[in-house]
Amino acid sequence: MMDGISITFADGEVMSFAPTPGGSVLTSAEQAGNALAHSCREGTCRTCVARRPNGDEVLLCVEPAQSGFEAVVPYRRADVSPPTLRRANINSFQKLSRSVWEIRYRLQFPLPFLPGQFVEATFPGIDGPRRFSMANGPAEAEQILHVRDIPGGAMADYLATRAKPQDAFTVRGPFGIFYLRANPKPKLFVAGGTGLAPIIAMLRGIDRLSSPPLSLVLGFADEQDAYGIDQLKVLANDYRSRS
Amino acid sequence: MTADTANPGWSGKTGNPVAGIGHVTGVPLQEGTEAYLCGPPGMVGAARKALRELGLHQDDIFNEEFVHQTLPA
Ligand SMILES: Cc1cc2nc3c(=O)[nH]c(=O)nc-3n(C[C@H](O)[C@H](O)[C@H](O)COP(=O)(O)OP(=O)(O)OC[C@H]3O[C@@H](n4cnc5c(N)ncnc54)[C@H](O)[C@@H]3O)c2cc1C
Ligand code: FES
Repeated sequence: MMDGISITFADGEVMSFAPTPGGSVLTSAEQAGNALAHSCREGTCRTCVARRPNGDEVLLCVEPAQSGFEAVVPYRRADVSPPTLRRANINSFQKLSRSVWEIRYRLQFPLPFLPGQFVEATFPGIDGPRRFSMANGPAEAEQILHVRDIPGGAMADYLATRAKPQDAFTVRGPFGIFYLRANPKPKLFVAGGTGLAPIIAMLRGIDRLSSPPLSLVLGFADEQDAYGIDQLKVLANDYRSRS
Repeated sequence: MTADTANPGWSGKTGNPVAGIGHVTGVPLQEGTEAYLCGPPGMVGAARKALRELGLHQDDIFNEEFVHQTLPA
């Protein structure tokens, strides 16, 4: 399809479809029954990022559909699953540091995801969904989120004043192209604050892979914000004894 | 703070993780190494720039920016 749109996946698979007049590349793909990674659909979250042949990055959710458009996406077609909605219940929640909450919860039905991906979670009495990355490994029954305590934020208010174990909420997912690639390349992880959450999921999910060398650089605004160090030490010891 | 699988231990410094990249010894800071960056957009952008300058391939750098966006209810 020379005059259609053509998207190449990370493993070289090519997907071609016709542009929808007035639509974006993303909506055109969907009209043709094809899935591409996305979340916000308005150009903020960068989940739909792709690279043009000239090296420019484009966001497919806001890129007007035009014949002859070509781009490469940084994931495999098989790694995009259609998001589904799940009911969840809080098991427990606690402060891990001055500015980080941990929420542990269970799902009514499993929600498979790749380590590093996120969900849109809607908690009781909050105006709309918030995005949070799973900090648990994909095969674990208990799900974990690390939620930054943003003064005046809706989540901080909920957790500090109203939340109770057993509270029901919903999650929709999985979303995201920030997931661990299964290959033997050495891997450097760099996290700031609760940016550690998806990286812990990756470190917990890495044992099926080929034991590549790993390094982690972690930053917090202040010592009182730091969290997760003990868990990281356990993960590092585990990893070393296996590899 | 920095932790390597080769050389565990924590330098225990607070601050910008981008500055910590230079202290990494567990993986080669060059083409062939993958990087996974996550946190506030400013940090992620600065880390990506630093790693590109060290020679990491653009397709080997994955990132997630924790941006704020009001989602429709
Ligand atoms: C893909 C993705 C994954 C994410 N994963 C996580 C995660 O695992 N853990 C986590 O803590 N956060 C994560 N975030 C960020 C999180 O979704 C937002 O910070 C969210 O708005 C927090 O909701 P809230 O109820 O605490 O604050 P809100 O009530 O939504 O916001 C209150 C005010 O705080 C400010 N604000 C909110 N969030 C931010 C921010 N991130 N940076 C700067 N100012 C902000 C805004 O000005 C806003 O008006 C992720 C974001 C994205 C896009
Ligand atoms: S930037 Fe969020 S889906 Fe395109």
